[in-house]
Amino acid sequence: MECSHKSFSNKKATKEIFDLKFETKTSVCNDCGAYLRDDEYEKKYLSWLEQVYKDRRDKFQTQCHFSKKLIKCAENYLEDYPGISSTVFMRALVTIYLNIIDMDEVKSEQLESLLDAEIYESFQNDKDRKKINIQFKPNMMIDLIAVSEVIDMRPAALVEEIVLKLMTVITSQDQKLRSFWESEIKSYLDMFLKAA
Amino acid sequence: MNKIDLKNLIDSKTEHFLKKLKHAGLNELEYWEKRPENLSRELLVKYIKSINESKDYFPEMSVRESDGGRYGETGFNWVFKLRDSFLIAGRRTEIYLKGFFFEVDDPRGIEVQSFKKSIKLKSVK
Repeated sequence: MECSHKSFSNKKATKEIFDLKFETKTSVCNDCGAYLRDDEYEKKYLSWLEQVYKDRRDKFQTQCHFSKKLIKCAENYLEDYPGISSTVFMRALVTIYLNIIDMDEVKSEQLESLLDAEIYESFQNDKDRKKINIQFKPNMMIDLIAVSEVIDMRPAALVEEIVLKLMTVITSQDQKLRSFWESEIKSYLDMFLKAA
Repeated sequence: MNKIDLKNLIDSKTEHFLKKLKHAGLNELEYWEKRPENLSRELLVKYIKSINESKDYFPEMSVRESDGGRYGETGFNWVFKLRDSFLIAGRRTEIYLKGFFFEVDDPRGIEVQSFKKSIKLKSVK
């Protein structure tokens, strides 16, 4: 039976994230224990996250392992963007993927259907790998955690998958992928990297 | 979308339901989160942002049972229940969502009582 949250009290609710606990008063359903995340709750939650970001920067980092070939390709691409590190570049790719491509079914399905399996697998199966820490802002990090939870993946594994997909697009010579890249991603990436 | 356009959209008899849901949800959202049975507010926002507002969809509607809560008395007196799907990191995810619009005299947001993965029952022979 679904709960309609008819009966509730204003009391402390606890939310666990990053092995830390956020506690604040909000409406809590007396029947099922659900708690209300309204605008007021969100303001307090984001303010708490900003404080955690200041004190525990490590909580906002994902420790990824990438093929050295992929890193080299990223560095080659960044020759046109002096001063931009590969970690900033990878963060931009993840942000663009989650906020632009994954929000649009047409773009997302187009990307999946066009991906060059040979390049993707060459990055994925390369044993020569390097550890890279990619740091995210609080809003982006909680989105990453929410997505990774529902698809049952670690946030770092999700970041690796996204970077692999978009680096496959960047490095492919396939005409359809090049066209997808030019029309759907490049302008966002340029804007992001210029602002970085 | 400004306040008047949003009011007109939610009150409209001709606009698509999903368009109303998207714009009202992005303007003001109240979500009863219950983990782990239900999905997080972050995913709810992601779903709302990803709604194709030109898609026509008729949700199941029923009279709202609860008149408690901030918008219990002033919210719309019918509850929508919808099943839809959206992409999460390229993976299609079926969802179920139940809630209502608020407020009758100042239509501007939605309260979501439930948002979870939708389970399709298999027929048993």
